[in-house]
Amino acid sequence: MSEQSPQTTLAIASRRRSFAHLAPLLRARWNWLIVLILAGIANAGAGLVGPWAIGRLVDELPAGAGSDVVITCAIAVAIAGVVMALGTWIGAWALAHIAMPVVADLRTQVVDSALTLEAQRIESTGTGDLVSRVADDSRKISEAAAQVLPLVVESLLIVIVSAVGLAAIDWRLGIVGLVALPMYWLTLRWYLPRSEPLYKEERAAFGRRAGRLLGGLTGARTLRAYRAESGELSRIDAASGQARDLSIGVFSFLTRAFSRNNRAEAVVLSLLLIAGFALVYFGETTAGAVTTAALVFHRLFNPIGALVGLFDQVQSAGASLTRMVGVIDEAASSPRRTNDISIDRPALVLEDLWFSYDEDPESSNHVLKGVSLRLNPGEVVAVVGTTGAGKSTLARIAAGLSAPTRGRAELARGTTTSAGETKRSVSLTELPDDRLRGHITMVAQEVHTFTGTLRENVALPVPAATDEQIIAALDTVGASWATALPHGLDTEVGDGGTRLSAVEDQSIALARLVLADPDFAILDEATAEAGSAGAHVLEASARSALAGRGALVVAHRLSQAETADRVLVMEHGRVVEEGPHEELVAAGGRYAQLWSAWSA
Amino acid sequence: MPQTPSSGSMLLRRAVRRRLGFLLPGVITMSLWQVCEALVPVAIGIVVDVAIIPLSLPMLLVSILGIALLFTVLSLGYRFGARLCNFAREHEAHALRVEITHAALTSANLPPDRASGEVLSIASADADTAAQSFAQLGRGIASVLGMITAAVFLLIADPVTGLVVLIAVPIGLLIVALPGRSVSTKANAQLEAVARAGRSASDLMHGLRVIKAMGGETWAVDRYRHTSDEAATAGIATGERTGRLAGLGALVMSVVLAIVLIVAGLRLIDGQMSVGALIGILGMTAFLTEPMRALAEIVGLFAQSHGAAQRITQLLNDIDDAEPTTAPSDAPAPTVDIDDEAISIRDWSVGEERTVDVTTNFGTLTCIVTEDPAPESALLAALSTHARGTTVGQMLVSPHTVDLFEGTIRSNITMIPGAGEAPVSAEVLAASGVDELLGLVENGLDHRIQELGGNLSGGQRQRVALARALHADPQVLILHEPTTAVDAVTEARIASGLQDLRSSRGGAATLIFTSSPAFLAAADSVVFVPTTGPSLVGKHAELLAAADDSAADAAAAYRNAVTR
Repeated sequence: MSEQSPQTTLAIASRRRSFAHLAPLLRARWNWLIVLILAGIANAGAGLVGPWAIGRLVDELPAGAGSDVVITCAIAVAIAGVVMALGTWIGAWALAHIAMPVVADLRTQVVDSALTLEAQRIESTGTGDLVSRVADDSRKISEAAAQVLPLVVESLLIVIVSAVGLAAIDWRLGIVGLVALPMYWLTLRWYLPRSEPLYKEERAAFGRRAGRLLGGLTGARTLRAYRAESGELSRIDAASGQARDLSIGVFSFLTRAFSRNNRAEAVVLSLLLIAGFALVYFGETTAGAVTTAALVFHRLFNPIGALVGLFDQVQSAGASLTRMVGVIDEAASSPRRTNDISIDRPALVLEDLWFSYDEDPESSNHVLKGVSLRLNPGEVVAVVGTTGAGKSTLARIAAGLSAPTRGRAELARGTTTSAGETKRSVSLTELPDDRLRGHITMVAQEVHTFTGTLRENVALPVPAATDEQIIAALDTVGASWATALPHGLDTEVGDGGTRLSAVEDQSIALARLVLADPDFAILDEATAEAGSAGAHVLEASARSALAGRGALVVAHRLSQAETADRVLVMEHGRVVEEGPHEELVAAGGRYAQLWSAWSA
Repeated sequence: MPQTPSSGSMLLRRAVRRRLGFLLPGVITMSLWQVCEALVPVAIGIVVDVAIIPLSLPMLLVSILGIALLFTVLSLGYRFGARLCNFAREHEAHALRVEITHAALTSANLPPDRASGEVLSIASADADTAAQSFAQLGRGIASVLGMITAAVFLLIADPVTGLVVLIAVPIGLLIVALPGRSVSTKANAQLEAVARAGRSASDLMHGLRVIKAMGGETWAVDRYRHTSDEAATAGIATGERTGRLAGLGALVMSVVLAIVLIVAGLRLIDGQMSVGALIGILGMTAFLTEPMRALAEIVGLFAQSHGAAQRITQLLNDIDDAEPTTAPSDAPAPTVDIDDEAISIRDWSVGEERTVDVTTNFGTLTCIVTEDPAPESALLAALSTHARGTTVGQMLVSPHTVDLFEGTIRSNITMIPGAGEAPVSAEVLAASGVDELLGLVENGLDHRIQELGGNLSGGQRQRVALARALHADPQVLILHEPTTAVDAVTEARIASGLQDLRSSRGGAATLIFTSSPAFLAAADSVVFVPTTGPSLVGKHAELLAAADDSAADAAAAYRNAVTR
């Protein structure tokens, strides 16, 4: 398969649109939101009692008050402690009840959306971007919801309530405290535009380092065979050194931002004390109130530092959100497949198919140039040709995964095509996925065994399948190895599970096909990597799996063509020969040539 | 290479030793910062006491200057202390990473149970986590010094109240720290659940084409929803537990503050304490929780760093140990010999009491077909071991698995990273079938290869790997199933092109492990090793003819092995 597809990218939603997407999810949990806000306010308010009590002692004790004031203050502080404890506890509980289900909904929506994207769209964007959005971005959002969000919510409430508290002590001190706002705002203004490119560069360097490491480690055997380790190692060292230097730079930048925070703290604290001095001097307030104000502000150092420090994490979580909502929106806007016609024992009709990976409809760069083929129920057709002949593209169109640029790919009723017959047919790309897969399923070039049990892996097309059905499907494809597994169907396979051979992975794919039980199967290079002995086994499995259904087999091994009802020989996007194996061999054309090379 | 540390602790100790030049000044400066942080509430108390209550303008001026000075030292202390510790940390992480990758890539063979994914995770995440201990070291020592400062102040300001604070605060923290462990277990479980959901998503996306082709969308969403909901449930439980713990902390600290408030208030009434000292003591009581909480957190983090360091040493030692033992099975390894005329393999054990000798003269092509894969891999291992003692120009064993490296097709063939203009001969391109590929991709030989060669198909990758082997042009070339993903026509072209190219080079021997008829037909001789019975040697056509003529088991087995 030649990869010339244009690398268009998936959409990224606007910030406004992303938050709008969250709104209904949040609205559904409005009662928890109210609990969260009430608990947060109670918590932050109770936090002011400590500084207030100290201020009161400063005022009253030198004036000769007795121990009853001390006791009252101590009791107030203790009661505030109980309120804070309950507020913190209930607030965290409410926040978890809001954040966790919303994030879970969001990440499930993204996976769902990614799965409903048109296969062709996925081909044109590549799976890399999708994997990064569905796996990485939703993980980032989940982690942010668990670790960053509680801190941000708590700090925000403390800052707001303390500001109100400061104003309540003395509105003039409150105004002085407001000086803090522009100072921190300036820090952010200075920090954010500078940090974003730095972080971006650092992330890119991390990516490069990970890529080089992975490339070097997975390619270790080849590097050793060619005694080329040192070249690759110096590339890895360079990438790692570059990432290190960038990280050091990013960190030293970060400490400068913290210094700006310290400056703001010092300035505002000094201003509070000076203003307090003046107010006490003019008899407007007491020394105790100034003490309380200064201590309240001191209490804000950590929450404000957290808010400023977490700002870029919040921003990066926001960026992840826009990327996720981008996928959700794209899936929602893709055309629905609605043509819900059911056809019993249909024929698969491909007529005058043209296909180009270029977006330009007038493009002359066609992978398929007018290919026509009709597969009757139960008929097996093999497609043969060299690399780049268009076999895989034909297979994808026949499976309804790609729409032809021109021409028709449809399921048609009946076994004949006599002219004049009232035709009832439906285009493959108009059928809803579940309906289409009832008729046609494809074993693609890519083999993937999912992390999970063997049962789950085979049951992919029919999640409700019984153990008997699954075992029967495995038996059909001759997967006797499955019964020898330590835990039978419950054996964990895929990444991290029992390692399966290439042949075993392939036979799972074929067992899925048997279980799906479609009218037509499309097989593409299903035996390529299994080696010679494995290929024999898999060919036998494929033959059993195809029994009783029509099939389009992209034949890499000519033995697959030999047993087919008909052979299609393709070259440069056209069909150059067509007919049963014997006829084509006897005809002495292109196929005969291939066959003699093969059976030499 | 210096001695590999034998345990995680030794690795960390070595790390501290070799970064002491940055760590020591870093820790000292960081401590300065923490001490200043502790003095902020004290300063507030002093200002109120000496300036605001007596309404002394000169003292206010002095106070403001004092605050400016305090915050300057505090700010610079953090800035440079943290930078120094971070510098040490980044350099150590890099050094560990380099050490791990060098060991992994240059050792004779990685322990077989070490997948490259695991080495990758150790070289990236664990190296970072282990080096993280420097940041903790800095913060930890600074926290301790900060607390000592606070304690000294408290005891000087008022011994009685100071003692109460110094007893009540640790007890309070202990009450909070005890259930902390169960929360961190929960939090880890939640992180693991989130990670599981992430892995599941990534797994599904990697198999996306399979799902789309099979109609497994419902299956996939249901699976994912299940793991995602589990993560959400774990998240709610953790959130509630964390909140409960934080609430408990707030309660305990409030009670401590109330107790200290009573003691200090009564001492003030008795005239034993100044107002400034009262503010300072109460402010500091609140402050003390910070470094103590940091210390508790650091202990947990340090356990992680230590675990990471242990995994690193384990891997390094495994690599060290793996070196002397290279024989994959109990059977004695075959002997490989290269002289002026041929490469000969002797005593190749292919089954019980059965050994085979193979000799390939320079200028010829031999194919080896084995029914059972075990002896094949044993011989390949022996050949690889032998090749390591030679140069690429003398002997090359090209592995079956194709590894492509980020760069261009050219740099992948020449194996010179960033090979700008290094030429690749047209004969090599033709014999490997890469010439056809070049017509299909942009920029021909300078077509970009992504990381791991993900943008080429299996057959295309195999052709590039073959071109690489042919470009290296070794005297003895060994290939292992080089064209399993290449179509039959191209394979036939490659087989004859390869035979021509290799025989045109004076005195080159080629050995191919394959059952592909295209190569077998082109070979000067074929060695067939059946599962049982004697081995066969001859030309491909002769062996096939023998199978037609006689019903001999071995000959029939040969026909079966190579017929497709």
